[in-house]
Amino acid sequence: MNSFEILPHTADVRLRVKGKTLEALFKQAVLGMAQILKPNANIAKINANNTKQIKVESLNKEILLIDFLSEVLTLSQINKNIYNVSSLKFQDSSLEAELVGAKVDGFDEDIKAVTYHEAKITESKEGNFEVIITFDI
Amino acid sequence: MIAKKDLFKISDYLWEIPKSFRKDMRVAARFYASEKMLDDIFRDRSLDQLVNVATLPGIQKFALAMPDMHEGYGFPIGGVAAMDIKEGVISPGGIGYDINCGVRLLASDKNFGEIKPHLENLAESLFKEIPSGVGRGGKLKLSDKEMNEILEKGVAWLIKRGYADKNDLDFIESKGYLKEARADCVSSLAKKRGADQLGTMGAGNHFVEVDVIEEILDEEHAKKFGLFENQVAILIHTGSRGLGHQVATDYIKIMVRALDKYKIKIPDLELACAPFSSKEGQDYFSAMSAAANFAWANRQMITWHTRKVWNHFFGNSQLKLIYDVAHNIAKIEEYNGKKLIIHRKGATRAFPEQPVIIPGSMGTASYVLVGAEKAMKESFGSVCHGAGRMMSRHAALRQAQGREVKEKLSAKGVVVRTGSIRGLAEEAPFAYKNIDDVVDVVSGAGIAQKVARLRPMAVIKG
Repeated sequence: MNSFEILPHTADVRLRVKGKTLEALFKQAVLGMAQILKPNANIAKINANNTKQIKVESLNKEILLIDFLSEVLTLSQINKNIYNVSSLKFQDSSLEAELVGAKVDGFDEDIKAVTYHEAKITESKEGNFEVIITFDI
Repeated sequence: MIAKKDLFKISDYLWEIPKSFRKDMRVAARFYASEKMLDDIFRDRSLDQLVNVATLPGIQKFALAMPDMHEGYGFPIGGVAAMDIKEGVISPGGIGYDINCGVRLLASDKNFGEIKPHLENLAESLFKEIPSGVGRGGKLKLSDKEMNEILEKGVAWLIKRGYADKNDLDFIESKGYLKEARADCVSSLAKKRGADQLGTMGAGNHFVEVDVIEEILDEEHAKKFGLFENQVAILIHTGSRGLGHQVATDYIKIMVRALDKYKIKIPDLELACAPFSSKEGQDYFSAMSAAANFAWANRQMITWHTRKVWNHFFGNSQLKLIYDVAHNIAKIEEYNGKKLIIHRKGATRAFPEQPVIIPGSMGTASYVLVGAEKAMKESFGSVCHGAGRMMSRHAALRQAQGREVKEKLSAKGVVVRTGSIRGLAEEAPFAYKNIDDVVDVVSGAGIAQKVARLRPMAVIKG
């Protein structure tokens, strides 16, 4: 099942993300991060015209995921937007994505950064993906 | 996992994990704690993280941690790591994402009785004047040119604009700027993230407090620093905001990619580093220095807002800067004739005779200490930085409602103004170690001495 769950950490916030595919995992991670930034954000308010294209190249899929989330976080902070992923294409260890954004007044949580700390993507026998991501808040 | 049996007791306040504990350690790991604090320290993985720090290339003498240590990622919070500038590395994770997060203390010429009738209104005005919370912009919107000047000049730039007193510079660590700063090493994204954040407090554990000096513990130094019993003081805790967070993110990414090039093996990617002398190392150091300058300018702008409010209430009464210390920073310092790059992540510089400001958790005591000669020999001129978190924000939220925390503080006579009632519960005192225990360890170890104890009377938070 595609899902995310916010977990406690001594000083920070962790997010457990599950996806049936790698693409679903990355999309869920963006949704989870948006949920931390603005728990009551109305994703339905997302404006189809407010789009951003991003391209990320990395060394492996874990680093790619963290770099991708970092880029989305930076855009969120600069543009005061919450983003969802409308399309995502992988090629080896790079990706191209289209984000759609919803303007927000501010955030409820100040995520300073997405960290590489222990971000290990695991794949189950059934082919489902899971990762735990640590955010510095 | 490390257990008590792996430790050597050096003194009542200092413990060592020997180099033989793990074969990839280049030096031993040492940490300051009392015996009764050990159980809490073993509850998280801060000591395992300290051992990881001891594996980094060029590390000197010991990987060190202070009694307020807690688990971070990569480096523990409360850590000090000194690297050789020729053979060693610089690691953005050893400074942290909030570059030059720090505290400054302003002291008034008023005693508490004089301001007590105005306390509620004073807190309200400080809350209104100083932008706080997530995403609220500051008074100054900086042009690209102004941003570059601040990044390279720090607080000195604000003097020219009338936002700082000339005398303030003498009471800021490094006089409010690091000369190695280069604005061109800071990405445009980082500059955009910081463009409207100068003079803003942010959220989380950042605050402005109105304190009263409850007890003088060293008359001579208190007099020298300008502190007296019952005096009203203001404590400011914040850092480089989004600008610093982005600088750290940008350079950790760069260094992760450079690990193979420099044949560096690390047990956790958040320890990503590059030789200090390499292009990546030098660019990061220049960018980090620029972000540190931005943070000092940020605390200075908040000081300007605070003084404006203070003068509105109390006329010509002055708020003198006692001292400003950074607790997430890397600096070049010399020990035994050798230049080292000192990483402090949740640790404070404590040179002999220098004031050291140690904020407690919200609503509990804070301390002014003075650095001691022993710190130069033992801890690379460093001490603790605060109480140190013990409980996750979620666990704190489960234990108490923000409203309850506010009521408890009110019962103790502490006025609270906050934009986030949930944030109050997250920062509740029970989520932190006892500040008295932490300070007792560093003074017991002789690396700093207590000068004064402060009690909060009003807390202003994002």
